[in-house]
Amino acid sequence: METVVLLTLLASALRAATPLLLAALGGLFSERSGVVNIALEGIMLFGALTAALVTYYVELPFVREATGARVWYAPWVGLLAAMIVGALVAGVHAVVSIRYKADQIISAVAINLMAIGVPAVILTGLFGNSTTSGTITNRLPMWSLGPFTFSPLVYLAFALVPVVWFVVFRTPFGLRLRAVGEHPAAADSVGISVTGMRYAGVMLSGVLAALGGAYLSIGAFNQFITEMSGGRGFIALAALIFGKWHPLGVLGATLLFGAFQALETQLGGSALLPPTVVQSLPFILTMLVLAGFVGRAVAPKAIGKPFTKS
Amino acid sequence: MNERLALAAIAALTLLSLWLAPWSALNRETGARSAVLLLPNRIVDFTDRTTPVQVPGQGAVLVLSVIALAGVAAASALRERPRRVLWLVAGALLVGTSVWGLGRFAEAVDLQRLLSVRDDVASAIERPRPTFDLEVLQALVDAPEELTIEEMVARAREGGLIIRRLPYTGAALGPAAFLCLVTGAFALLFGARLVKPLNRPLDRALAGVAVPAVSILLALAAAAVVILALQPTPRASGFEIEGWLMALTGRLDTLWFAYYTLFADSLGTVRGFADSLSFATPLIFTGLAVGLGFRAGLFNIGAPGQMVLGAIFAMLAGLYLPGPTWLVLPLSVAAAALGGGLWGALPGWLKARFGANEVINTILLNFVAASLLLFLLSSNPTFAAPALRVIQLLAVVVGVMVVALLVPKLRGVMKLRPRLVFALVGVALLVGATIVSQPRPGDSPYVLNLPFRMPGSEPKSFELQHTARLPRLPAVFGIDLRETPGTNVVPVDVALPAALLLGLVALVAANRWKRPERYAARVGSAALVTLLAYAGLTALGWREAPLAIPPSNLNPSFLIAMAAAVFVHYFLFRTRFGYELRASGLSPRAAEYGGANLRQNIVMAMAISGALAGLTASHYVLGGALEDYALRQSIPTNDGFDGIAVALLGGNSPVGIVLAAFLFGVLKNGGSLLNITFSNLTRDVVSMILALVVLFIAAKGFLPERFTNPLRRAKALGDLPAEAVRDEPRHDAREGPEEGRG
Amino acid sequence: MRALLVLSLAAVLSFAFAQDYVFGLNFDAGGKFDDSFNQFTWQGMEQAIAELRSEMGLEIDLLEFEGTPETSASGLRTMASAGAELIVAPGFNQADPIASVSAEFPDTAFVLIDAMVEAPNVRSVLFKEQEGSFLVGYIAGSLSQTGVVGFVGGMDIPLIRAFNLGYEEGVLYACPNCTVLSNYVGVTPAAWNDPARAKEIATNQQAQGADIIYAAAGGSGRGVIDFVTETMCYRPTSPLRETALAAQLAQIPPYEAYAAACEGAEPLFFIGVDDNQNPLGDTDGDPATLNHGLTSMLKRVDVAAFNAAYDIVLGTFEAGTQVLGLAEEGVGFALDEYNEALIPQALLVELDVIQDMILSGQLEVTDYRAQ
Repeated sequence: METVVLLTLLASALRAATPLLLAALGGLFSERSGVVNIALEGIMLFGALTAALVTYYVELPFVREATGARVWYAPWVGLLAAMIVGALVAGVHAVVSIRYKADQIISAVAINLMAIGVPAVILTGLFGNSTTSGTITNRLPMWSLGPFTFSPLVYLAFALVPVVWFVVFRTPFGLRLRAVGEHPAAADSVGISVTGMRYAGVMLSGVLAALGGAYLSIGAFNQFITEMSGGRGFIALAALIFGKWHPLGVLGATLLFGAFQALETQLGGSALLPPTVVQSLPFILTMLVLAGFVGRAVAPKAIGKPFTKS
Repeated sequence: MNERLALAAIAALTLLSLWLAPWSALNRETGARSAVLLLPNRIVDFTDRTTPVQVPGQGAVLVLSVIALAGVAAASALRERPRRVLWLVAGALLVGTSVWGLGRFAEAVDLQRLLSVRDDVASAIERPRPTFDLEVLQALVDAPEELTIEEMVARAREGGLIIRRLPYTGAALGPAAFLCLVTGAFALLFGARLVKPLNRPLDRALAGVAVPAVSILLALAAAAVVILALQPTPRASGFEIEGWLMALTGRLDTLWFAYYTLFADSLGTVRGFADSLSFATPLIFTGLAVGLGFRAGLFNIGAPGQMVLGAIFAMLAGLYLPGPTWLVLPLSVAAAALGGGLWGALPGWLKARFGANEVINTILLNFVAASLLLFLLSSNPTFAAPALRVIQLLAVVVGVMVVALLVPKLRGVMKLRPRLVFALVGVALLVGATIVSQPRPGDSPYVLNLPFRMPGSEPKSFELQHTARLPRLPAVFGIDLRETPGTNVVPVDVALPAALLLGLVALVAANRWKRPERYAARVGSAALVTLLAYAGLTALGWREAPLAIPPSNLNPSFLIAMAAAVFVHYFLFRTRFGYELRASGLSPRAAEYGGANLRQNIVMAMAISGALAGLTASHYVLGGALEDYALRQSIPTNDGFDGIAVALLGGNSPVGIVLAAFLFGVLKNGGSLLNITFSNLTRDVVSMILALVVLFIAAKGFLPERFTNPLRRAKALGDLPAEAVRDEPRHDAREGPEEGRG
Repeated sequence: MRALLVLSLAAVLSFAFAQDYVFGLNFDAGGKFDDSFNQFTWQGMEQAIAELRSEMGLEIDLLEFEGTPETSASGLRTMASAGAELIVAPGFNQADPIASVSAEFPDTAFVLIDAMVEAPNVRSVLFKEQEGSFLVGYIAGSLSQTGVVGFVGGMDIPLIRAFNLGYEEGVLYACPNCTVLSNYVGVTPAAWNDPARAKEIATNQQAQGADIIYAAAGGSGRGVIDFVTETMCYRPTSPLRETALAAQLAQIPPYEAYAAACEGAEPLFFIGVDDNQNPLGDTDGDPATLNHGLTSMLKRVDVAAFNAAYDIVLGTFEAGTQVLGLAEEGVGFALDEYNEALIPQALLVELDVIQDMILSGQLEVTDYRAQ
């Protein structure tokens, strides 16, 4: 019985870590290129919304004909659409903060604000209420691996960790990305397009964060609900810092945060420990890391600064 | 800026609207169904049951409006002087015609409304109900004297008949009349440039509001698409829309009424106005908090968390401080500021001491504060004994770590081998936790009994003592809503505040007019103005002016907010410390070179910013804005994020922030109304508008630099010599002492 | 209970120029389409309005508002000042706003569900959730094959604890050796609309052996239903209890996906709440095949709303507190084409007996709130 509970908790932690990991890996691209991305939260929501809506409408004609009809490609189309929309929303952040040189925090705040209002407006138009989308029949399939059964996005998230590591630290693209984030002027002087790299970094972060959002709506569940990300974008940001902007660190941080979340879920209603005690631990830990009490987090040097070519 | 083209275009648009768009609305039912009137006397009745009203003088209004519009458009082709003269004349004609026409319209509708109510009372008498007092009702129908609508409703009520919805409700101006007024106003505005001394202030005002105004207009335009897409033209069931003109009229009316709903209640009714002020109050606080941070080059996203801590402190003070009101109330307000201030100072200190980015830390602290609030207010926290032991162990380990960090030698060791230390501590924790978490005989769960928690369903505290409460609007005027429900009309001494205000204006004006005037003379003349005004207003009967006091959650916290705005203005622009803050915000290195203590400034600025955010508790906890005087878990911390938008829209200046907060309050109130009025629109349209405003402002309204760069703007206005404007390298606002660590 | 006051002043007055009636509905956290509490209240209102329209030819507008804590009072005020005769407010969160606004608008009738406000124009409707929960608990305890059943509560409050306790007592009454796993989604109103977390909890409860899970969690209940309909079945790891369910299952044809994935496994079931959620357990649109909704605990908030609307029109609206239990048919369990094949006849007979025992006071179900 004990092992069963532990295994369940582990599976629960992995599921909780997945959206965090996807978003945090996305954030890594953006921040390594020197653009703070507090908009992860908003991009996740837009990703979740798009995935649910596109899946819903792709399968709609079939489901109308026969309840519960299987349309295997519907969720994948939804996933693809979510990635595109994620890139576009991140693109807005990029345009406003790179081209118009707005404060990167401000444009991200605007996107997060939009992610609360716009989905609600769209849902009102399509489904007559402002909180939930219609339920989809064809969510992402579940793949079994040993004792576990997970959504493919879970495997993808963990498989992405070495990929991201390789891309960032072992490819010319990664080198340029880091150069732009550390010392844009120097990068510029050797002919690297600072704005180009930054656009790439931010849009990549949009794609990955949107995947994280899509996991919430069509991976772990079967509909979109307003504000369903519940601050996961911010937690991913914390995990990114906790993991010191390194893919492996991010993996560890998201696993830890995921474990806390799984524990917190289990504690609800049990007379063991108030869940609120566990709730805030990840944040306090991150603050300690940030302040240098537990190791030191060194941000990319040029982070948050618009680049003006002189 | 090509004003000629702009005005001609607006005039053409208005002309078109006179043909296609409703000039006024006769009637609007719940559900936004309307009967609208197009000039001259074309009525489209989407309610399908509105008795048409004959409005006199419409032909004249149409003819005169068209003439005036043609004048505005034609003037664009003329040379400078005649152009401005013609604009003035045509503008005056346009505004005058519209106002006269609307006046006639209102008279006609009022009369028809009276007749309708009388008819309906008569028809009610024919089908009597047991509660009716038929004599009273019959007397009402037969009453020869001219009754106002309010008197009729009151008398019907005496007769046992409650009239809930008056006929011809929502009769108001339509888009065409509104556009006429706007065009007229613009023509007058640009015509006024005929008078040379007005030019500079006009230009300056225009340039100052350009970015926010354009951003708001763009956001509203984007909202138009959403509104039209979501909301089909409201109409009575079975009503068919025939022809493109009727369809277009319906669409235009829907769009117009959506905007009208957003603004009209807040700006046109006392209740709506009070509610918008009430919604604006917390936003003023959080806007000031974020704005002050911006000025100091700090981005405080932590206002939600600071609100929570302020609320907790205010609750504790309001529950437990003994003493009389004049002592407890100010102390409770101070406690709110203290709580927020401490929570704000923490990330400030972390930045100053360890170079930790305040943006991330304030976000994290928001989550921590939310958990803390839940911990305090949700059902009494229960700890199983082993879990409690694990927590104790954790506390001991953390304590040891902190002590170790404080001892320089040990700290050196830890810095040398951080991973080893980390691993050791981790293993020790795991082993220790495994040992203590084993159940022991005699274990019983520990329940933490928090004395301030209200038992029951909702997570909230007990109600505060009466000594710690700010009265809500009706109570301020001594009205007890339980005895006299609804809107009360009471005599209020308006003369005193009005006279004081006039005196203040006199003081400021005298200051502006002749600067070197002697102080005593200025104060003396201001006092004289006050006295005279008081005497005059008393003679006019303003000492007992009947004011309608609606039920509202507005409370004196609004005054505290205004005082806070004045304080921030004074602090930023009139004190040495404020000057230093602004200097370090603009260029930290230069400020440090100039002798500013950056670290201290960061902590202080964050503390003040947090204190301002914490003061929201004076509205939500001490002011009872959430329906009772208690700390509730549902305290809307989103206001903290909205504060960012408010600060941006207000350009980080206290005056701007107050105005922006008021606009947000109006939209918030309007959003609720939109939700109720239209079946397919929700409040989220408003949150979308607000988000778009922020985005557009971030991108400077996509305006050319002439409007957005303060230096260039100054040059364009001739305030600065041309050579003063160079491409200044942009200083990053968040450059701070942490750079050394990076 | 306080003396009742008849608000006959709110009676019919049909004006030529406007709607005959305007009703208001202020939704609670979770939103209009939560498949549960809010939606069920709304359905009651809509049904009353439709019937009043067809029966009496009345024109009635329904104003809807989805408020937030700081706007809910001002929304109520707006609806009242628009001239609404009746405003229905489901949810205990609305008790304080209703208390202040009802005092300001004495001519408007208010109906508050799940909380009590004493005012001459407020009708408070409370339910004996423990009684209905006892019945569905009895069903779960009688049919559970693993001997472990789950309970997923929404917000951890006395109201939901009352569901929990009634359910637990019902389960143990039928099966003294069974285990009831209880978890809650959260401690804030957000817990009414967090199905993802409810699903996570259901997953964990199933891993601990639960084969029937009762969700009393508003919109979050969708997470439990989603888990059950997605997972469909479990493979027993320990010997099963022998219950009447096995015989029933033998007669029910499985649907296609179930037959493909669950050879030799046992089905999972959920128990719905508020509304009859049995249809949500049907994944193939054919009620005759296996459905995953074992039953639903009915809490007739729709009846509360429906009656209020009719009372206003007929002039029979009475303020005061109504407590609706089994006796008043305010709570109960759902039996329809979706689950009639799952519940054996013998069990229905037992349930009848238990209902009678509860009604006669022979069997007392504990009310958590009264403790």
